[in-house]
Amino acid sequence: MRRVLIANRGEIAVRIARACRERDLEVVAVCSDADRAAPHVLAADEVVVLGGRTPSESYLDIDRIIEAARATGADAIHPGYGFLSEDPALPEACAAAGLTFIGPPAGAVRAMGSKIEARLLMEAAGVPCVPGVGIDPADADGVAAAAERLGYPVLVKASAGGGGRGMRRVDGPDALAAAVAAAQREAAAAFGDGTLFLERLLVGARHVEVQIAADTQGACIHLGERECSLQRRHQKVIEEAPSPMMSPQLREAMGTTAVAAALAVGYRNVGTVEFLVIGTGASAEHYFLEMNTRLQVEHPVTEAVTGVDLVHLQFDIAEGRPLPLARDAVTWRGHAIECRVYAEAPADGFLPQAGRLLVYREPSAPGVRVDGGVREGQDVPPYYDPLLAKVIASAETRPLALARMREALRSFVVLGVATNIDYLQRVLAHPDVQRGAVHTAWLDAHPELAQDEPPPPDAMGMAEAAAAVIRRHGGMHGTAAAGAYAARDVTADPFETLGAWRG
Amino acid sequence: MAEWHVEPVDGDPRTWIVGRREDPRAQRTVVGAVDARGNVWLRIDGRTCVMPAPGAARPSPDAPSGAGAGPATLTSPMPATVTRVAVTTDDRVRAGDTLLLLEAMKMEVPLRAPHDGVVADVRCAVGDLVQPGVPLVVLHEGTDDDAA
Repeated sequence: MRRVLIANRGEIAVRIARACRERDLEVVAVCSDADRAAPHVLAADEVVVLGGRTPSESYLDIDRIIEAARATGADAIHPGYGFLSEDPALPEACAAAGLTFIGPPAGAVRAMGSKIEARLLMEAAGVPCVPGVGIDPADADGVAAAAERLGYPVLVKASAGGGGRGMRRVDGPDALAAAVAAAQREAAAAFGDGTLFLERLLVGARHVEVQIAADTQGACIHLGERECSLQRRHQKVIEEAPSPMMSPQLREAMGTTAVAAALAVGYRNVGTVEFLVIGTGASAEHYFLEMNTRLQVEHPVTEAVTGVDLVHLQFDIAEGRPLPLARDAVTWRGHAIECRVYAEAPADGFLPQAGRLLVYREPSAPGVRVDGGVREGQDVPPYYDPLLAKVIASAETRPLALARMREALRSFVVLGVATNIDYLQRVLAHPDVQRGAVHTAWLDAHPELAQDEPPPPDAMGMAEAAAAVIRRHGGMHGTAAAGAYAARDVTADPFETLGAWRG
Repeated sequence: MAEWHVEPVDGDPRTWIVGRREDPRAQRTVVGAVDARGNVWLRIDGRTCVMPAPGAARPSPDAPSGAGAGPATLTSPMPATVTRVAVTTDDRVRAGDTLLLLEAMKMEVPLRAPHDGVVADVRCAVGDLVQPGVPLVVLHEGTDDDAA
């Protein structure tokens, strides 16, 4: 392996490019027309412009990506997460073109990609699953009967689903038909497959997932869990490792289940087995939810507490090397938390935001890692996932990791595009989150956190004074500009007192 | 009324120090920028604040554009693709009814009626890539009673 094409964009493409350089591998980037000057392009040795703007015109076009690898002499493809990372057609196309695919075999991706098929395989392998059943959306009576048997509330899910798309909560029979129709529409649009199933909604459950790694020699280990219960409409927002509710016994039990799940589909490379967990301590029960056959967005928290670089591990496995450590050699130290910084307006229904990043300054401090995918001056395009960056704070203890995250978010400056940074600060400050007493419906049950808090008494006066002077200077003062500006002589415009606190 | 003192930070054209003239020790560092519409973006004390351009209406997240008396013109809040058109001209709708479904950044975003009314015009079709501010649906005010 000498030259790697990264079939992705944003922070994950930048992070993978960094690992490639650490391994003395050359980097080929691909990009859409909208991303020609994006950081993942600037991080590469060579770039192939796929053209187009929407994902299907660019990052989802397998033929063009394989052609780009051929044209640039790349001998391997890393899919990142999202886009083609869970499409078995990509590893198949790589095999046909004689390229190494940095990920699992197509068969494992396909088996886990159909949630219905995966459930059957897992049940056969003795892995406990959330009660659920496949449905035919055209058979309204059959759907209603299935929901009654499972017991409300139920979740309507897309068999090809992921990332919360094609998923709907239904609390009673009246809302069932509309939810099934909406989920089918969303699933068909997002995945080209409207196949649905119903699952019992486990109220109060936590989302805890286990990182696994399997080599081509047949060895499979787990690297512990990540707690991902803080989700908004099934999209993870804050993740941490270890889970605050974890006991060594439960970790071992879940790890054993996760390894069994991976082995059941002939898994190789790194992957994540997601579980719902009900209860705590010795009485806690875990149920298989799904397996993500790729690198996860939240992989850095596992890296922080195990010291294992998961992207390097992906390359080691793809090169045919045995796992560098045995199952009992994995140790966990300290605590790590990740916050996803999105271009979105929480006070405005979390609408995704596009626009120019006038100022973008990442925090830097002991125990703080930022995986960013944007740069100052860049236009955030409207066509892709609105994730701008991930902040990962780690420390010996959970309270110190939380404090480091609070300070990191406080000093993260993003101007020109609304973000969820201030929302994240309010979420982290909540006593339930401080105690770790959360579940998968917690964020959706706290919509008040999306609303801006009134500014402290002095802040509005300061903001008005600063805004008046900054406006007069067109936003920037020259390095030659000396002296101070008194804001009192600026005529106050009534609208300037109506500033909106974003976040 | 407090008098504020705004001072540039040498070598960092985006950063300013704001303090009280009568108490220079009570100071805050402010990072600021002006966007293309003239809004001033500020980061103060770990919070972001947007001060609208003079004369601009305050952006109100709760009220869809055009809400209130008279015909409402509904627009997308951001560049998006129209994935579903749920109404046609002359349809009577209730406040909160979904008129259009938009998709932006992988999210389904419903465009809802800000008030009861009658659809006067639909100016988009499924598959259209729409820009913010461009009218998509025109809605005339009216209730069941006065429209009947």
